[in-house]
Formats: sequence, C-alpha cells, structure tokens
Amino acid sequence: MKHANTEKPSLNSTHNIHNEVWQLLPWHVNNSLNKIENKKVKSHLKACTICQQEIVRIKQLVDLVANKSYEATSEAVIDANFSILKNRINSHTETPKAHNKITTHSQKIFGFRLGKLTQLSLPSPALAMAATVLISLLMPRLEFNSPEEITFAQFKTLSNSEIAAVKKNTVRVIFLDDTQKTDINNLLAFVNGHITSGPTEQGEYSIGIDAELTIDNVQSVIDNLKKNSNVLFAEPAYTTLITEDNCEC
Amino acid sequence: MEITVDYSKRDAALIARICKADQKALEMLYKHYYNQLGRFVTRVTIREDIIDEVINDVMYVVWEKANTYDNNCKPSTWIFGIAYNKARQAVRDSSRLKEESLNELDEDNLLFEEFNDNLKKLEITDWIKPALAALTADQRTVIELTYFQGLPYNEIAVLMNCPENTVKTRMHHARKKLATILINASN
Repeated sequence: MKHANTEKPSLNSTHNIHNEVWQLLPWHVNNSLNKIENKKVKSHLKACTICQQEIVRIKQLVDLVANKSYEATSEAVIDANFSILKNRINSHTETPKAHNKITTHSQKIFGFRLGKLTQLSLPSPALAMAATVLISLLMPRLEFNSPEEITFAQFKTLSNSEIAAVKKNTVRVIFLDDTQKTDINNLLAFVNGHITSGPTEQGEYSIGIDAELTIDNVQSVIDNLKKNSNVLFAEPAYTTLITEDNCEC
Repeated sequence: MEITVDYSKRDAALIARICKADQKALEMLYKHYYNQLGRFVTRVTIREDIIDEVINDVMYVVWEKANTYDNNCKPSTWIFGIAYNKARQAVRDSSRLKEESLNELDEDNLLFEEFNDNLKKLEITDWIKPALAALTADQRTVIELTYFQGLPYNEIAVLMNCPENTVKTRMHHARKKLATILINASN
C-alpha cells in the first residue's frame, strides 16, 4: 500500500482504515455514503493508490454492464402485461385483504371458506345453492323411520305401578307374555301363592303367599320366582318389609 | 452510473391510493416501475423469459399488501424487497428445473457435449452474462442495487432483510469474483 501523506499512523490502524474504505468504495461510486463515511473515503483516497485503482475498475465494470443494459420494454407490451395483472386481480371477486379492513362478524367467521369459494367466481345465489347441495351430500343419511309403536301394555316395569291395595305377604310379579296359565299355576303352587289381583294392563299380578313370611323368606320366595324362566319381574309388594306388626315406631 | 431521482413521495401517494382499491394508481405505479423491475429481475435471475411473470407477481403483492407498507422505508425499497423475494423464488425454481434437465442430459452424453459447446460459444461472445451468472443471486442483487439502482448499503440491507455487514460481505465476494473473470477475459 502506498501512502503519500507525511503522517505515520500505526500499521494496524492504516490497514483497518484501508479495509473499511475498500468495502465502502461501491457506495462511494454511487454517491450514497453519508457525510462522515464520504469524508473518510475521500481522505483515504488521497493517499491510497490501490483504492484509487479499484474505483477505476468499478467504474469500468459499471460501464461494461451498463452497455449490456436491459432494453426498455415498449409501452404497448407494458399495457398488455398490466391487462393480464388486472384480469388476475378482477378474477378474485372478493376485495383484496388490503382494501377490506372493516369486516363484519359473519365475514370473519366464514372468511376462510367464503374466500376460497369466491375464487370460483360464483354469484351468491349459486354459491348458496352449491352450499346446500354440498351439505346434503355430506350429511350422513339419517333414518327417521318411525319405530313400531310400543303400546302401554308392552312396556314392562314394576316401577311407579299403582298398587291399589297393599296386603301383607304379597309380591308383585310380571310373567312373560306367552306364559301359559298352567305354568303360572304350577309356579304359584311351588311358592304356596295365589293370585290376589291382576293381571293389570301391564301384566302385573299381585300374588299372596299363603304362609306367614318374614323378611328372609320373602326374599327366598322372590328368588325362587326369579329362577323361573317365565318370570320377568318379581318384587315385594311392600317397599319395605316392615309390617305394621313388627314396626317399632 | 445512472442518475436516480427520488420519487418516494409520488410512490407513497400511489400506494395510499392502492390501499383504497384504486386500480388507476396501480397502473401508474406499474408503469413507473416496470423497466426498473424488469432489469432487476433479469440481473438477479439471469433469465429474460420470466420477467413479465415475476413483475406481475410483484405488483400483485403490492396490490394485495399495500396496507402493510408503513413508510419506514422508501416505497422503492419496499417494492424491490418484494421483487428480490420473487426473483429468488424464480432462481430456486429454475435451479430445480436445471438440475432435472441436467439429470436428463446425463443420460445422453452426446446431448451434454452439445450443451457444453454452446455454453463455450456463449462465453466467448458474451462474457459478462456468464460472469454475472458465476455470482450467487444474492451477490447479483447487491451489485444491481448498488451500481444500477444507486441504493445505499443500509437500504439494501433493509430490502434484503439482512445485516449491513452481510451486504458489504456479499459485495466484497462479488467484486473479487468479477475482478478475476475480468482479468481472464482481457487475457
């Protein structure tokens, strides 16, 4: 490096300044450096022939490349290309986001779907019809066939059934519909019982047990009834087996 | 060196009108920038066949994103920033295509030799194009924006979304490569 000035700065500092200026030269050539940087470069250039030569090379390169410069496009071609861009913009029926700062709540909710669908350039009634068809196709086909009417008589339960007259040693039983009378009689004989009332509309029988029953053997009678395949339900007629006799209250 | 005039106020006003969906303003901006963008895209991508497509992509983004321009930089920096990204995308796409076509050429040695001969002829008649092609797209961008758009390095850093030192480093490497090619060509 050749320095013409008489000052003798340290070698390191000179080297650093040279490197710094060398990097800034392209922007010195295009006149875009700030005042401080420009002053620094000008000051260095007075002394550094390497940087002076580099500036000449940069200008040569710029001239060389400028000679191969891009040929300006004709007005007609630019117009034609803008028409293509305009068509592209107008083909989107939805106003571009940039021009649509205020959006309604519903637009926000359906913004994505509407945005995509409107790219198809469908008019809004057609869009609504398309949406309806789409929903009807996508919805699982639900069968709404009315089930066979279940009559009150077919609905078997012992809950909430009205017990007109509650008697001691009485159990309530519902047999299967196809149970024969003889089967019922055999079962009643087995548990020493007899029909006191029934069947009700729901098929409930009140069966009086002939023997005096305690809490334990009422349960065994019910268990025996339930073991029979013809018995659907069998429950004590009393909600508790506390009778008036053994009630301590 | 081309004389650059600062049209920032004019362009900012046009962008403000574009925000209000003014297509006439877009047309004016389009015409103002067409040749600058065309040259920039050509230099960065080294392809002339995609100029119109890339310019329209850039101006479509300007139309769509006009409201995101925040006046923190010059309108030209913002627009060239978009162009830089689109050009890089085009370079990536074209390298992928080139790779694919080279793979095809590998299968046929005769075709590959012919391709090489053509490349050699091109280098002899037009060295500056391969010289620029020897640079990376980022280096070409810095060269173009500095020498032909006259931008300061800090603005180029904003445009390329990188530190200022990176811009200087890219320029440094580009100058070294071009100097070597220039010496070889003159010999």
